[in-house]
Amino acid sequence: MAQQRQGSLPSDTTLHRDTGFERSAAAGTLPAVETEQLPPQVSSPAGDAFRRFRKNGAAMLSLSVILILVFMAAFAHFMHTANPLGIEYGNLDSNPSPQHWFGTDGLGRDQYSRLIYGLRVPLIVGILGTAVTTIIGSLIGVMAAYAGGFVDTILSRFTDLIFAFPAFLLALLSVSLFGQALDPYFGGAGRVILLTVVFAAVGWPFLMRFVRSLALSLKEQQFVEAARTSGTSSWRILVRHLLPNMYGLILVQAGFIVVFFVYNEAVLSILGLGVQPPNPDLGVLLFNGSERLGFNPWEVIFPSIFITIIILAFTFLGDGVRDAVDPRGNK
Amino acid sequence: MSQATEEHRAQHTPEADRNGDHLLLVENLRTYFYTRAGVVKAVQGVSFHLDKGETLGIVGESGSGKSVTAMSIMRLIPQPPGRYDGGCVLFRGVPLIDIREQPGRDGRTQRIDRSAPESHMRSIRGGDISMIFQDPMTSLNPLLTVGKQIAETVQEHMHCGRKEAYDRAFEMLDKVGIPSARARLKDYPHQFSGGMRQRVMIAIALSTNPDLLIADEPTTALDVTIQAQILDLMRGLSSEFGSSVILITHDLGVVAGLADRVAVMYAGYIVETGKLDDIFYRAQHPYTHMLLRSIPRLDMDREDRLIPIPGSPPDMLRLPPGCPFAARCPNVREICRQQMPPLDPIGAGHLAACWNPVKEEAA
Repeated sequence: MAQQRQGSLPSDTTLHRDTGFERSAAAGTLPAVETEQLPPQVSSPAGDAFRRFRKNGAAMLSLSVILILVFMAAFAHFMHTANPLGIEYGNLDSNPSPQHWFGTDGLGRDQYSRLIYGLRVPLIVGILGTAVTTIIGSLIGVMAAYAGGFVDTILSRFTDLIFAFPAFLLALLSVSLFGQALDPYFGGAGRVILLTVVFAAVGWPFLMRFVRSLALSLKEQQFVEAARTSGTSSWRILVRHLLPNMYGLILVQAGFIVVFFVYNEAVLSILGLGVQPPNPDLGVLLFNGSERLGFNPWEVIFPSIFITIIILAFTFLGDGVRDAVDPRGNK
Repeated sequence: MSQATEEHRAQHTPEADRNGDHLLLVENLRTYFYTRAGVVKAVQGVSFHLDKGETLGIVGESGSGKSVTAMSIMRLIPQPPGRYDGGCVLFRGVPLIDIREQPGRDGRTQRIDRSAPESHMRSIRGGDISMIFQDPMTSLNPLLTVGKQIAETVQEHMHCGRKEAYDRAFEMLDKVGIPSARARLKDYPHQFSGGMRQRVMIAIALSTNPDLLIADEPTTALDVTIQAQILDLMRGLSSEFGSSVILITHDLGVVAGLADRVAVMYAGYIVETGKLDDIFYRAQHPYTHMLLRSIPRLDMDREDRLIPIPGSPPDMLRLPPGCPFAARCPNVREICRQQMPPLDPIGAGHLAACWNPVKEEAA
């Protein structure tokens, strides 16, 4: 596109109606800028961000790691080496070996198989919970900012109310209250659903405040005013002009929320409120391993490594998205 | 292309000749802001009219109520804190704002609001009245292509398909003098210079064949050479499209080049209004007079000095009673500090609000 335009520029400038600087500006500086700084494609802001992201090694590595972990969790059924619930009494607390890659736990269960099944819970709770909480937070935030006045006051105070509860304690409370009620219906999945819903329900106030403050400054931009003066409906301004201009920064925050959820899910499990035994879960594995730290440190080391990898990967992914959407903040 | 618009107009103009020949009639418009610090009377009783094909320049310094007047016509003042406290805006006979206060039966003042519904305003905005803004760098959504931004406005108001809308977008970009318009439809705002973006804004504004174009400081953010081109473009296109123009600016030079009539605003009042020549050569209000003497002119002698207006504009939160210019006025009298003078005719179509206007002087 740009090529075609550069080629046609000189002839077009002669057709240009006005005289003066604008013409020389169009003929003189535009091609220079395009050949030297812009990539040779039509550069849409989203396309530019994507290109910058692809050049960021750490972010691309994180994305690959996350995709691999998601793949392992999703297809754990085909990748396990032993039944994760299968007990092997003759082989308790064993070290890593060709049969049991990550060793076995105190009941002789295969740690590798338990681990890849255990990945499912933090990933589902982290990613799904974040998706839901991000949508809730963004919509409430952008509506509060755009509507302003009374609506803003109501929504902001409601957010403050939710925010005032320590999110972790609220999650702990709901899980201990409703956890057992769900178990008969959904079995092991009940806790996962509950955790996802609870985290989604308590995680959004932080994002709502973030989106609200972004939208407050964005709505003062003239293109929003211009949209209003050309008769655009409020809903359309929200979803077409305000939210798309914040998507990058929202994604960055979402990356950090995933980390927060994964971390808290593990802590809940360590407290015995997450996924119930014998079902595997990273946090549960870590908790069980910590009891046997004295004679088999591997039982702590492997789950810890995986939790660390998940948290680091999402953190670097968030950083990468930020650098991609806001290159000025970089260096 | 304009058939849909015409039908729409016929629908919405049942009393077409209610305001005579005037396309736009603003009467005694009052827009106040009720802030925590107090009431800001941004526009207090402004009246003017605009005929088809005419260009009205509204001149005044920052905070004189120019932009609030424009946004009131569009009915886009955020409420709260803003509030229309009275007056009416008739656009082709349809009351965009019509607010009267009458003593009710129980003795309390009753607010009667006969303004058009919001749904009607949404079709007016962008369709019949368009607006151009000061800063072309932020007036376009950075994430949408220029073609899309024009086409969306066209689709919204002309009720046509995507294809026609894009054809119209191309036609408009070409009309505002953007080279290789067809290819540039797919470009994003950051690929245009400031002057080019203002051309795009003009293309969007005129794409729906509006009857009225409100330009709020359209050249303030541009280089002087680009300013002249943009003004040329606005002059040419508004006559080609038959649009009336309200040109809001603090730059008397811009007004001199474009306007048929001028209204000078100060502290929320129109203090003087008249034909272009009335204002530039027969100014009677001391403010207009001093404003003209404070800017350089080509016919000045080299020894002539520019005379600044002493003092500063009044605090809009604590307006003194009487004429707001009294504190800076060399012709001030006792009555000026007590009572606001009415906007009285002093010539054909020339009105000034002053108790003690400047006499014709030998110049």
